[in-house]
Amino acid sequence: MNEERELDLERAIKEVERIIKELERKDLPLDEALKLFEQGLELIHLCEERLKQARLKVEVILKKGEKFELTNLDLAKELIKNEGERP
Amino acid sequence: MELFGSREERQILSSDIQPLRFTVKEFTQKIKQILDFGLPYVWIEGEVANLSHSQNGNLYFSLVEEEATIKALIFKTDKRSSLGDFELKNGHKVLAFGKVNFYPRSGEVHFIVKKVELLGIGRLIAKKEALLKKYRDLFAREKKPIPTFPRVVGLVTSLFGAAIEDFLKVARESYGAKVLVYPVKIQGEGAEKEILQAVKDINEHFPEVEVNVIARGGGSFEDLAPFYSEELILGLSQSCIPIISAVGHEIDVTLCDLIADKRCSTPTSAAKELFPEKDRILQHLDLLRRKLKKSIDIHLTAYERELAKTKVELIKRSPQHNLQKLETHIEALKSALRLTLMQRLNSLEKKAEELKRRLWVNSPQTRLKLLEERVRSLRLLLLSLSPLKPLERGYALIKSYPEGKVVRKAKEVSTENRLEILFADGKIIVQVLSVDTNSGGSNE
Repeated sequence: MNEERELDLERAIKEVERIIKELERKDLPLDEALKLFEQGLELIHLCEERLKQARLKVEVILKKGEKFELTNLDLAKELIKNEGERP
Repeated sequence: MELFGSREERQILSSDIQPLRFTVKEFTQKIKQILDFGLPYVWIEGEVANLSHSQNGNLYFSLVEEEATIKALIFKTDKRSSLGDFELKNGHKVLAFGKVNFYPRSGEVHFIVKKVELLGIGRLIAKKEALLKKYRDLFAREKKPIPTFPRVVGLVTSLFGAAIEDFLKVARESYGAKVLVYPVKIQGEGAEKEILQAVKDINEHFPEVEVNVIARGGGSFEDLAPFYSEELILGLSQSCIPIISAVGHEIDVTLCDLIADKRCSTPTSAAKELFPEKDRILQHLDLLRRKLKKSIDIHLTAYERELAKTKVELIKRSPQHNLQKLETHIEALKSALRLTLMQRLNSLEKKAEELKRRLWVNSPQTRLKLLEERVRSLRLLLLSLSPLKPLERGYALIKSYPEGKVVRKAKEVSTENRLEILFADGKIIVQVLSVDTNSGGSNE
C-alpha cells in the first residue's frame, strides 16, 4: 500500500472524536450536522476497512557503509549470522 | 567447630600431651599475632549490611555472604580515600580492601576497610546517582509525547533476543503498522555506541519513523551497564523522535529509562503501549459510531421539535386562523355590545316606568279626581258644620229682619223689631212684642 495514501488511524480517530465534539454543539445547523455525521461514519468505516486489511510490516535496516538497505527479518538474520560480527 | 569440639577434644583430653596454657591476655595477644601475620591486606567481596554511622565519625557495617558475616569499619579519616563520592548503603555489593584487626579488649575481630569498590548494581546505581545529579536539567526536560497509532515505529534491538519476538508478537495483533528494526548489540562492551548510532541514523535517514523503541529482553543485571553510560544519555537526549525505553530491570530503573520519553518495563509492554489490540480499536470505533449516532439523533429530535413548534406558530399566523380569531373577537364584541345594550335598555325602561308613574300621579285627571274627592269631603265636613244642622233637632235661628243679622241675645232686640226665624223646614217673620232681658233661658 502506498505510504502516503495509507489512512492515518490516529488522525482519523481524532477527527471522528472532533466531529462528535462538534456535533455536540447545540447551535449547529442541521445540514452541517448531517454532513459531519456522514463524514464521521465514513471515517469509521475507513478505519474498520483499514483494520481488516491490517498486516504488520517488518523491515530491517542494514547499514552498508554510509548507505542503508531495507530487508526482511529472516534474510537479515541470515546475513547477520553469516557476517558473524553483528548482533 | 563441632569436629574440633568432639573428636579432637576427646583425643587431646585422653592423651598424655598437656595442652598449652594461657591467661586471657596472653591468649588474645596470640590471636592478634596470628591474625596480623597470617592475614595481610586482602580484598573481601561481600554485601553491606547493618550500616551505622557512629558519633565518632567512623562507619560501622557488616560484610555478609549467605550465613557468613564479618564486622567491618571505616575510620573517619579513611572515609574520603576509601569511598570517594558515593555513599555506602545497605545491600551494596562491594569489594573491600583492608586488613583484619583483633581487639583484645573486646575480643572482637574487625575488618578495617581502606578502600571500597562497588560491584554490580551498586556500582551502576552509584554511577547513576552521580549522573542524575550532573545532568539534572537534562532528566527534568519536558518529555515528547508518544504518538498513538504510529504508522512507522523504529525498533532498536538485537535480532536474536527475546525482545524482538515479544515486541513483534504484540504488534502483529494490532492495526498493522510498519516496524523498522535497527539491529544493534544490546549488551556488552560498545553496546551503547551501537544503540546511539542507531537512534542517530533513524533520526537522520528515516524521518517517517514516529517513535523509536530501545528494547532489551531479560538478562543479568550486570549486562545493563550500557544503559547507565553518560554517552548514551547525552546522545538519546538529542533525538527528535520520541524514545520508549524498554530495557529496564526489576531491580532498578536505568538511566536510559529515565532519559527516554517513556519507560516500559518490558518489550511486550512497550508494544502494548504503542499498538492497542485490533479488537480494542474496533470496540473504540464502535463506541465512536454510537456516539456519532446519538449526537445526530439529538440534533434530529431538536430539529423535529423546532419544526413542530414552527408549525404551530405558522398555523397561528395563517389567514384562516386570523379570520377565525377575528370572528371570535367580533362575536365577543357583539355579545358584549348586546349585553351593554340590554343593560342600557333595562335601565331606560326602568326610568320610563318611573316617569310614567310620576306622570300618572301628576296627571290633570288624577288631580281632578283628587280635587273632587277633596271637595266631596269638604262638603261633607261643611255640611256637618252647617249652622242649620241643629235646626233639624228643633232649634231655630233668629236673624234681624231684613238685615239678616244673627240675633244671639235678647238685648239686641227691641220691641217692634221684625225678626226672621228659621226652622228646619222653613221660616217665619215675626214682630217683637216685648223684650225682657232679666228673665231668660241662658246664663247671659
